[in-house]
Amino acid sequence: MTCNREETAYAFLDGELGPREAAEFAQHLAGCSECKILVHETQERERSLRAVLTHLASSCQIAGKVMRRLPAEKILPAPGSAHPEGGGGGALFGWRYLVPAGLTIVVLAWLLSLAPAPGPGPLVPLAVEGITLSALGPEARVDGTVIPADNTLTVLPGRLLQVTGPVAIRFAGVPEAGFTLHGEARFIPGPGTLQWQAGAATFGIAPRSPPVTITLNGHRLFIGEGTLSVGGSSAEGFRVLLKSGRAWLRGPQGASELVPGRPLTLSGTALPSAPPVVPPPIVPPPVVPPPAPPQTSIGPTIPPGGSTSPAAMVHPAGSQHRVATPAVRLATGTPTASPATASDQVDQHPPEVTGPSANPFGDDPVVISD
Amino acid sequence: MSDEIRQDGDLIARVLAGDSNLFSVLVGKYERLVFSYLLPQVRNLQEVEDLAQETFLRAYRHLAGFDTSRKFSVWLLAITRNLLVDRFRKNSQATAGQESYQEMLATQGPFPQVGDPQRQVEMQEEFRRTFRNILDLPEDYKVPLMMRIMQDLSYDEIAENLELPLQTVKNRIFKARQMLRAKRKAEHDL
Repeated sequence: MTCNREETAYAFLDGELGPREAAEFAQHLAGCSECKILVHETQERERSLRAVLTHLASSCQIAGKVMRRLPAEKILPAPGSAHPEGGGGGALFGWRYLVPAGLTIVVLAWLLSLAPAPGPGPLVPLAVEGITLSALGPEARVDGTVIPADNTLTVLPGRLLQVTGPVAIRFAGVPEAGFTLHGEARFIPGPGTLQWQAGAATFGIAPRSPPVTITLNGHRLFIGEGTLSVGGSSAEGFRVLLKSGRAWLRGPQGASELVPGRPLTLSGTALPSAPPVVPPPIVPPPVVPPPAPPQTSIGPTIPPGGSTSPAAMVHPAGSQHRVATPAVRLATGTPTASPATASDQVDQHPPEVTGPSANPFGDDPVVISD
Repeated sequence: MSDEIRQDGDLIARVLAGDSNLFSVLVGKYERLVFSYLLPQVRNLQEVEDLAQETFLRAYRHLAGFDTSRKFSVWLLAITRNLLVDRFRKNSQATAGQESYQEMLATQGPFPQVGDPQRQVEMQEEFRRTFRNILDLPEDYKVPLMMRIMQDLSYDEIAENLELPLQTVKNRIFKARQMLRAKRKAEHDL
């Protein structure tokens, strides 16, 4: 390789460059065929590898096997803690203390017998609790069972659920159910997250509700607020459409903000040659880039029939569905959002996120898109 | 304290309080991390699976001793590392006769099914070639690269999990990719 920017190219691919560096490298990429080929080939190779290894890891079903063996296991006391079964080694349980300890137990038992029967103890709120599902319509179901209209269902995280909406989902520690699901989806809920398996659903997050993360086959979709549709499965690939509000996607190529009204496709394990398409990021103001260069595509284009589309996915009229192509595009400071992307949707309702930037993943925006 | 540390700490508190089913959330969250750590270092798939299971069971047994102000993933990988060392110490000579990944992948392969048969063959061939080349990389280079590829971890996260300086992780991932590229070029030139 005659170009000496190989290391920067990999950092660019990994989303490890700052916005200025990324924008600057993206400009370089437009004119350097060596770097373009390097980025494309590395992307392709690693993507294919990830698809197979992820499949391999999940086919081993470690979690199921571990949980089946767990009843035979016992949690050992922490080192240095009082050891009731320690064979008399602990000073607290030495014979010198047996008499006073016995007396204390007798006195306590007598005092308790005088006291009225205690009611249930106060519940200690913890961040990980059951996830509550409430029906918002008569057709709402969980695992095929109808949720009664005036009732809620609480499930523990970590379990695969088949949910038919409309339902409101309340995560632990959240006072109100500001997160809704319409459509049908299979997912594994976790604390503040849904691990998507398959289906086609529209999610809604009310303003000022805590954000929710949906994981899709190695991608993390972070919904700040608004309405967003997700469809597809790990094998087929996913389609994501932010209808309104703000959401971010982090994938192998980095993180970027979704543009409302512009659908994007994430290829599944069945299509290893098609890398995910990440929408163009919003680059911070200090970088003033040149006009957007023409798209530079390398490699074959996957025909539209190459990816499946869930029937229930809704795309706005007139919006063209984007087909995943192995294309590498320049970073530009100007988002290539459609005119429909109103600035008020972007700036006036920022989600409550922490970190150095508005990007909830804490990464600099990465600039690979179609 | 980060959200992740706090969430894991809450989960662990619930497991220690008797809700052992919640341990599955921790296993589900970290099984791929353990897998990506073991996969390039153990050349027998069954053994990877056994070590991964044993890692989580050992973590469960010693959960009461875990300091919840620390990152659970770092502790988990320390357990995995100890198990690996034990395994190498006990049967270092046993690996030669065992079925390697390459053999396993050449015969069955854990490949997701693709509709087009030709595409399926191409994908399998591409995977075998790349994976074989990764296995041939120096030991220190394989794991950071696999964590990057399989887990989509940032360089910072990899450095934290492997308890290595950030620059070392950057260098190793870069060198690993350079070596893979050189191997591919050599294969192509043949």
